[in-house]
Amino acid sequence: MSLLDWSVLIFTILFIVGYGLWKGRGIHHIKGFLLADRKMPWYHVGLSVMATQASAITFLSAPAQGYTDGLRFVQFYFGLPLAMILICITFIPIYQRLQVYTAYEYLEKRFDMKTRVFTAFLFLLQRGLSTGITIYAPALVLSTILHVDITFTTFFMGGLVILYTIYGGAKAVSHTQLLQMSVIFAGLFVAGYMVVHLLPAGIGFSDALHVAGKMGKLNAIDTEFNLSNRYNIWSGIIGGFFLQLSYFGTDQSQVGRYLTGSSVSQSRLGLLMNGLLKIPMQFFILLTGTLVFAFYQFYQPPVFFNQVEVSKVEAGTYSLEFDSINTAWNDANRIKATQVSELVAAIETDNEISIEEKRKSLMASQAQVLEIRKSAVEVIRKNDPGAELNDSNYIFLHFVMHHLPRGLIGLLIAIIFLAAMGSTASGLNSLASSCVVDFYKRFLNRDGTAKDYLLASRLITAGWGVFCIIVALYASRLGNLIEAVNILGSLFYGTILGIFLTAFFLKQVKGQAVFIAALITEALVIAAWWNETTAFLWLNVIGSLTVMVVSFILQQTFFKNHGEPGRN
Amino acid sequence: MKDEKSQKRFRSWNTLYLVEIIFLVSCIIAMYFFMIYFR
Repeated sequence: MSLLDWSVLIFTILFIVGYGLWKGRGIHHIKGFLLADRKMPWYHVGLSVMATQASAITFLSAPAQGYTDGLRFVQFYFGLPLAMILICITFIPIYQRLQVYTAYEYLEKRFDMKTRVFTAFLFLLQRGLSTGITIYAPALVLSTILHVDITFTTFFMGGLVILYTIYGGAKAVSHTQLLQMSVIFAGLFVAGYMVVHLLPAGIGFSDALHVAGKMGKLNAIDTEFNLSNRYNIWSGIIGGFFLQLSYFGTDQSQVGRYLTGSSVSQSRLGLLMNGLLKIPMQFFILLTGTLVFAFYQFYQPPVFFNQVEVSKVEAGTYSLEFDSINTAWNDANRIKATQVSELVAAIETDNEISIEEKRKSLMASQAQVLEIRKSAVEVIRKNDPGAELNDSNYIFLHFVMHHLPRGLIGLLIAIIFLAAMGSTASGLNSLASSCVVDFYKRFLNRDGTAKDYLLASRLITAGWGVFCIIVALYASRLGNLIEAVNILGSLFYGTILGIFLTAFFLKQVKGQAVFIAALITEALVIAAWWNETTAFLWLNVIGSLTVMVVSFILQQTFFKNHGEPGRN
Repeated sequence: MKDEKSQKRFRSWNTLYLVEIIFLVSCIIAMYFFMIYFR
């Protein structure tokens, strides 16, 4: 990277951190530290919610998904606006009326202490580990791209986030996220524009879209109902609805964001803003990825996007084999580039028969190119069995580093750092909230002073920050555990949502019934996942509905005469 | 008076929710035609 890029990168990050520290000053109690005094306007809430969900991997893997798999991932978000509406109607008024600090605090008021502790514990376990991974994944990619040690990128990102989260709490988190999202939006827009701008002379935006479309990359909508198909309109609307409902309605990292709203209306407007912007934003990121795909139909892409792994093979015993694969790759891509130009010419003449003919020969070449790539990956694996064989997170960054002008490279790398910092900051703040409110204040120090709780919040934030950095530093040794951490989250979400939906909608169900129903459901969900019965999005639907049905049956049978009706 | 005010507020929130749903449906339809046009 050039000096200009480094300057843009460092200035952008330090400016935003400095702004967060300045805005986060003057906190004297935990309401200020954990909920920004409940004074945030709707646009702060909305952008904060978006920044929390959009981690660095979103900006690395979503364009890659567009590049490799097309637009179909956008369907995953179709349930989100519907989930936002239900949260606005049901969750927000209850949380705001009871003036809770955490979502789990409500569960004790509605059910009992053990349901609250059980749910808060599941949250801390999953969020603590996943926040560590949130730091690790971009730290790894950035260390590879910037040629700096991963320990440095981990400490740099983690350290800055801990600094402003400890000092300014939710206030600093919210203010930095506002700026982070503004820079992210601007950077993405410029990146999208640049992909089109860099296409060969005579090839416009529409031509690029036609090429991507003819090669099956603009597959935004799939209407076929298929339970084992991960992304179609039905899994997106139904499964996505339940997933987003559990994430936004019951995960403290999100609940903590909209509890900072100054009123029910401001929190609601923030979430509705998220519902409106999320689908177009995700569509645009995926489209940028498909445009990068179209770009590489005219220009030579590397056979493998992670250049560190390529350098290792080139310096190893399989270098000759890799060289010959590389030559075959370049030749095949040259032929393909000619075919793409012919296809564009055919599209311009609007000759359907010719278009179909050119498309078929192009797809045959594409299949050949993919075969060559497979053999290159195999050589990389033979050379180093521990090599990172999935290069998708490097696709977009490779384009940025090799084709964008100076200055813009620094800005786009800054976006990755900022996205990681935004979601990590919310993660740390929510971990501290749950630890302080659901455990420290509840069990260890019930009559503490404001000063005690503020100090405990800061110390616990620091503790979680150190824990997350340790997870990030050791994540490379965890291997498949990273995947396990991600699966862990999706396995618990359905059950947790079921507990909350029971609390809201089944007023006669009480603590004992819901607790046992949650345990039974969790066992069923794990069994369904283990036997690969269905795509993971449906597990949330199964989990939440099972908790509701089982708890209702238990309440009507075994616990019929137990205690008072449930409150809320 | 208070009832009228809360009725009004209820109606305006419902309008916003409806706008959100209409926007979602419009997005899906627009993406569908976008896909068909460039296929």
